[in-house]
Amino acid sequence: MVALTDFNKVSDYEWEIPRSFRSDMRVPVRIFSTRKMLEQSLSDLSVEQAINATTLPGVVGSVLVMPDMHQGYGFPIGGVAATDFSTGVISPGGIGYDINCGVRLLASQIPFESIKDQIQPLVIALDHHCPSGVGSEGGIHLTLTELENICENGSQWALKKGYATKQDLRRTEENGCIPGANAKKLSERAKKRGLPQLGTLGSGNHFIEIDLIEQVFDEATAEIFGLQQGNIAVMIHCGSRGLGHQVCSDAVQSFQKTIHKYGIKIPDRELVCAPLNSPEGQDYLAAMRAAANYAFCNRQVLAHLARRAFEQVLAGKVNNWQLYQVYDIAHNIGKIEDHIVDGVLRKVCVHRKGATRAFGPGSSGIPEEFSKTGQPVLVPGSMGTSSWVLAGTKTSMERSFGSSCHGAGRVMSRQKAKKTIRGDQLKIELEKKGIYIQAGSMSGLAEEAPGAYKDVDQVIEAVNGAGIARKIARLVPLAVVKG
Amino acid sequence: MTPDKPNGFVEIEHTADISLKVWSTTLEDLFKLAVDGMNSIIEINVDNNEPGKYQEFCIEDMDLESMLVSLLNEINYKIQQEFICTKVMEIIVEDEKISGRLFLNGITSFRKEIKAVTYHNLKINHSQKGYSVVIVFDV
Repeated sequence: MVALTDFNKVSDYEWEIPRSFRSDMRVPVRIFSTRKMLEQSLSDLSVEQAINATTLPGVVGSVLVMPDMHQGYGFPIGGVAATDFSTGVISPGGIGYDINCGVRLLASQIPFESIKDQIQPLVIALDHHCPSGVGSEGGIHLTLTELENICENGSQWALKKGYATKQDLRRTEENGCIPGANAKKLSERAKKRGLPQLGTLGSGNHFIEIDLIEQVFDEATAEIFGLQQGNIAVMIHCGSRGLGHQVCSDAVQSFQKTIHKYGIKIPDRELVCAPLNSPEGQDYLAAMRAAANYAFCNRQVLAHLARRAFEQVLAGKVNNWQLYQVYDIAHNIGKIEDHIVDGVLRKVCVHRKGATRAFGPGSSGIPEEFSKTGQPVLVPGSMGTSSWVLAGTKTSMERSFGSSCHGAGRVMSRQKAKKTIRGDQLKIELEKKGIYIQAGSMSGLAEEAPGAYKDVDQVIEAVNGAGIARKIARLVPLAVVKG
Repeated sequence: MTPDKPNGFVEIEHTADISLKVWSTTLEDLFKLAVDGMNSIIEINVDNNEPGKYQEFCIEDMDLESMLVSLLNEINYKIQQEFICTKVMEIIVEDEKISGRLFLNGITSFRKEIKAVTYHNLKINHSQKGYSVVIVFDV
């Protein structure tokens, strides 16, 4: 077990476990957190999991953990690990089964006051247009050729089909398409699972939310992002569905054998990996990128469906009812990026498992309009609490491989949440607060209750205090569609 | 292992995902109960109007843990993709091979989506009392 006394305090918001803590550690662990949140995190296995991640061959700098950290499998949720492109490994478990699970934010010029009485019809329309829930299938029937096209071209496919605007693509991480994806590297099962699920939300913690932009902290940056206090926004949280789950499962299973070929020792089999420059590593990288592109396109189609819902309810009643994209980001991903490590510019594979890219001002790979502000960092809260829009900083480039937090972070197990919270009661309580809920399952709703999560505002204080992101706007939920 | 029952499964605390402890006096029953445990987590409603059918199976892999993950992933795939619930009726466990007979039934609905069966700290333990394992499912 790790104790608070095992940490070196770097600052009020940064804590280090030195490499000397365990003999197999290749680099230190650095945790961005307040003391109070760090103490809470010691109650589960998240810190041990971060220590395990430091044993990966070719890992550089430090393994970083965000304040929304909690226990995962293999890597902790909130973990960031960079491995050297030439000598390091890629670990599918360090990216996760829901490849490119991420968040999209759509803003509007609709003042909340002008559509106060339309929130309930809007959430009903969103629920109607956007398929959600366990095993949900979409209204878009793909051919195998179309699926392969999506996996290799991402949201470009949606643009050609009329499901996207050019601005949507420009304001998506990697423009909605990670180069180097190869659909031929997907198993037949992965493709089969992807065919019926494009444009679906799924279940678990995925959602579509109508938000009110309650408070703006930086007017100039908010204006560039397209956010205005008092207006409505829509947040979409989902990923690559069954296709992505299958890609990760296939790789974790096959790497169990190949890891021995490369003589790699790991403390947990879920950390299984392959050298980035090996045929197995390259095949997984190409398949993972294909799944990531499917996820970008999935959120794009959901955004299109959300726009249709808004049109159905608001057209003719409200001027400028359109939804326009702020940004779309991945928080379960492996990306080849250039970062300065110990004063030297190195090409690395940044594994972000429950962590968001947070590139600062002047970084390459972000839209030109964000070049002075840093990229938007989208941080959903839980159903009854705030969500946040942050911006990447120079410090995030220096201290966290251009990464920041991804959400509130769970603090209570699903089992305990179901025992202590009743879904139908929660729905009533949230509706008393003016938050409408459309949920497929009441026990699923109970598992995702706000009380099962950390206080997202404290998470934001920690990343803001550490300087790895800065506050731009706080959003509060008005209505939620839960899978 | 729990003292009151020689065989069983129980969901145990995990912050974000689902952890299932399975124990049994024999290795064969451990595999069967792991499948029953996963089906229980998913909360499947079986189609009782359908007679169901038997199917032979064989999985070869490098060790017991890999075969357990393969079996569970296979059954999870059948639930999600083919809407079929699987029960292990007979199983023979060898060092690098499991084989036997499954009973397949159509399902009308299921409540929980398991993304994957993980290898996180996965180890089939053997003691004088029998076998046990803790499986973490990504949900």
